[in-house]
Amino acid sequence: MAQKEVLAMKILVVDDEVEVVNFLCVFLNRLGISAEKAICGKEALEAFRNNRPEWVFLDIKMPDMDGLEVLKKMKEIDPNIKAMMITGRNDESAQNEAQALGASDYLMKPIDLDNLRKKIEQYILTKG
Amino acid sequence: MENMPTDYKKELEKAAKQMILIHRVDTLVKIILRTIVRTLKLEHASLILYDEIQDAYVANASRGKPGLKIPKGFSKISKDNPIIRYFTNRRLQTSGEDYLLFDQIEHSTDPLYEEIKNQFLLYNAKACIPGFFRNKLIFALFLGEKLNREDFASEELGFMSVLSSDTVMAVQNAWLFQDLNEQLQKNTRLFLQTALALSSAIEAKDPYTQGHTERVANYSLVVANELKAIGGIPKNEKNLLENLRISSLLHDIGKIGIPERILNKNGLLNQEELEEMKKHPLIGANILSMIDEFHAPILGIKYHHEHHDGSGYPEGLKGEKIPLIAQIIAVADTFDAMTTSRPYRHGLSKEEAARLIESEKNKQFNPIIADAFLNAYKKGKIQG
Repeated sequence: MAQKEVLAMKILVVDDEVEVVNFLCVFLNRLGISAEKAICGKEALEAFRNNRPEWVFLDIKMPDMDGLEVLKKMKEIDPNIKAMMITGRNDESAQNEAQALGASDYLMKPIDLDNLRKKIEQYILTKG
Repeated sequence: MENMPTDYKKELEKAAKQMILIHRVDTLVKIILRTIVRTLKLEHASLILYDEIQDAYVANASRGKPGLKIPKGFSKISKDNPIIRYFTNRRLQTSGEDYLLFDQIEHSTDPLYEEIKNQFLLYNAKACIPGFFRNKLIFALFLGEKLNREDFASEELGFMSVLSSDTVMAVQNAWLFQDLNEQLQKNTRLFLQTALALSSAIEAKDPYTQGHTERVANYSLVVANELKAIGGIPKNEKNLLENLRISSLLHDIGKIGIPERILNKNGLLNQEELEEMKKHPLIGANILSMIDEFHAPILGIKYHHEHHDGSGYPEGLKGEKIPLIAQIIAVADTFDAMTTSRPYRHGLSKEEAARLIESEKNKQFNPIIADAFLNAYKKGKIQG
């Protein structure tokens, strides 16, 4: 596993559940990736503008601004932004909408961490 | 072992004993993880439990430092994950141990172990202990590093394995209990639906009672709730509402045994017919007497024509001798009979019927029950 040797990659993790962002950030750090967290749409956009992560993990269901809206606004700032949506079960319509908005992928809860690791590794490989 | 006091064993044994008493899997797992993390002084521990709907192992509970603790239900491990394959495929097990340690495989170059190492890193774990029920893997317990960075002692690991099999039994027990509860709820529904079906059988035979049983059931429950609100239901009346619902739906079931010429007669009944008609409470009680669960509802069916002053039938019971359930149905039944039109007479208005109930206090009806009914009526709760 590409642990601690990965090129400097920045991921922004957005979820209104603090436990989830904490877990995902620590998880990504273990894979050698630097991760920034945001717990609402507003915070996410701010972090996005300031730090320009190359990948965003975005929860769809959030109280202030849902993930789809956040994605739309991020796409306005950077049309090439790569976004991975985090969805609950039976969220098919939101998934389709996210895809239409240009989300590159999605993770369905409960998340298979091994699968997520493989996605990240693959991304790093294609990035060269 | 000198820094590992042996009372951690006692604490874990105590937890194991308590576990079997807990019938909610979530609570159970939480308790066991809390105990493990505290006694072994770990950074974190997570239990990944088999989930039938996902057909995968789901992080059911986790305990430990923020960032290491897995949010409930957040992650899963598929059945073909190398660590699951390692535990479920006995051929893969070479060590003969019933747990896996990161340190054991850290320097292995075997491709399977390489893959398993990755899983340890993903879960930031130092040890993984399987939980088997017979040949089925129920869960995988991931243990994080110790706070003091020391290795696990073999005694601790052995103890964890034992604890793991205790946890399996407790989880199985809780699952069984949950299934049983679901089954019980299903049975209760079936039971009520059967009572409804039976009550519609009476209505099929006696068209003038159509809607009657359902209304009596509704009124009866309203009266019971009114009584409950004023503390008028004695403590020994267990499940009164449930029994009342069944009993009121079936209170006229005995009419199945009454000849149709009497049931559907276009006019007042003569003495002989009346005597025949008065048999329906006993016929109903007899029909249902074979069903043990119907013991309490039968009392309502048998005695709903008894009067408070002893002038009713079939036994001429008086006052408190009449079961509460029957006293409630009596008021509800009388009110509905009075307000329903028959081919040979018009029904009374609700106001007139309410006045008659009032005037029958201490005669036909227990005054407390009659008042409960009248109070509900005044609040507009007696809706047919």
